[in-house]
Amino acid sequence: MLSNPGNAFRSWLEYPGEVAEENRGVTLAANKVDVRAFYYSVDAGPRAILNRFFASHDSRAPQSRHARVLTTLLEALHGRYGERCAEIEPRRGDLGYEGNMPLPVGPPSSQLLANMVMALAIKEICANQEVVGAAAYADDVIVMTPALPEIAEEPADYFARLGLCEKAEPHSLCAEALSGIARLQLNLDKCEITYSRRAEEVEVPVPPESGGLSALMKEFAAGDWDPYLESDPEPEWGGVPVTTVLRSPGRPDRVPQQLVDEIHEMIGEIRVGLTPR
Amino acid sequence: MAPTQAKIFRDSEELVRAGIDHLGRFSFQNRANPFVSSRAALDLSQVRYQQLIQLLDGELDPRQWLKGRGRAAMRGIKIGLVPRGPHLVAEQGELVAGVESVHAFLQAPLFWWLVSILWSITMARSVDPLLGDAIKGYRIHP
Repeated sequence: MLSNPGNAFRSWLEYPGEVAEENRGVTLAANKVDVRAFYYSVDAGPRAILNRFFASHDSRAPQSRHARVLTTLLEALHGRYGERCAEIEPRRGDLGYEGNMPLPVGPPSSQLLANMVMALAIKEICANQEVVGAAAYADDVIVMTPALPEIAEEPADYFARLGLCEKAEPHSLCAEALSGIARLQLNLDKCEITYSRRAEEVEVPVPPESGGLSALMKEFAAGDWDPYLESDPEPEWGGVPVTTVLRSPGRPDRVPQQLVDEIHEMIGEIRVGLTPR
Repeated sequence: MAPTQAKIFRDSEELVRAGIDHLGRFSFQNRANPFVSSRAALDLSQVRYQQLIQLLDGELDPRQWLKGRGRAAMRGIKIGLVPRGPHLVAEQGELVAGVESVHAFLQAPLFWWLVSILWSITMARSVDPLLGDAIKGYRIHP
């Protein structure tokens, strides 16, 4: 039912590169925003989340008999789970805001509901003029902004300046759309800021027939020569994307990241650190 | 993105069979979670199976069922705990595992896992196209 989580996670990690590609020549901050104890921050049951989500798309939640019966049963499951959580307090001391109706951890319906909650938040984040793009993988969000943190600016001040969260503790995420549904707070200790930039495209003059980087690249593209490939496994030159394996047994860190990045730009997939057969 | 057509199941029994198949795959994919991986191996009792079919067919009112025969099923909903970040520490010269906090998971009879799966099957194809490209994880197959 659910697609491959590995591919989805990779797609999320590659998101800053995609946005940088669309904004060549601009240095962007990729703000990885961590929501504190997301599943526990939810205040509403499945029905309210469904209704809010579909209303945000000027639509109605499915109303078939199966949909209505299963939503009622799932609502009961969430209610009971919330009662149990209140008794046991499994994340005592580690929680920020604790919602009335936490999402049960484990079942697939919670993943779907989490996506609906995050989609409401992302829609609002993307409407922020400081933001050029945002993407979520479960409760982790990358927010791309051309505004970078100032020297010595605290993360809370920076995120507040961007309009992402309240400056004062507990640094609640600014998302009116979640009012009554969830109260998300940022865990600033786990937030990260990295930078993404692609050089502006420059017209490269065509060099003479022989020699030069361009000719080398043509050979590479034709599959006649590849300095990084070994004979096993056989590369699939016939199709696209090409797969290249960098050999560095058990020590992926021995492959310079810059080299990985360069090759990644040229080919579709790269795997690093495979142990030879 | 064009809305995806929801799969039409002939009847509730076919929907539940699809749910059991999905649960098998889901529990394998999530085998690190002991509270789901053990569930998929268990059979749904005939009584619960019949009740689920009757609920889905509209022969039982879910609200009435939750107050009556479903109360026992509700009592089965628990929290399963797994140590979170255990540390090796010394206690009066003895080495012991110290745990400061725990991971909490749903621990529930198979019936409730099926409810979650069936709800996801029923809703996902309506929800997914509206999520947009910004939501990367836990999307359904195209």
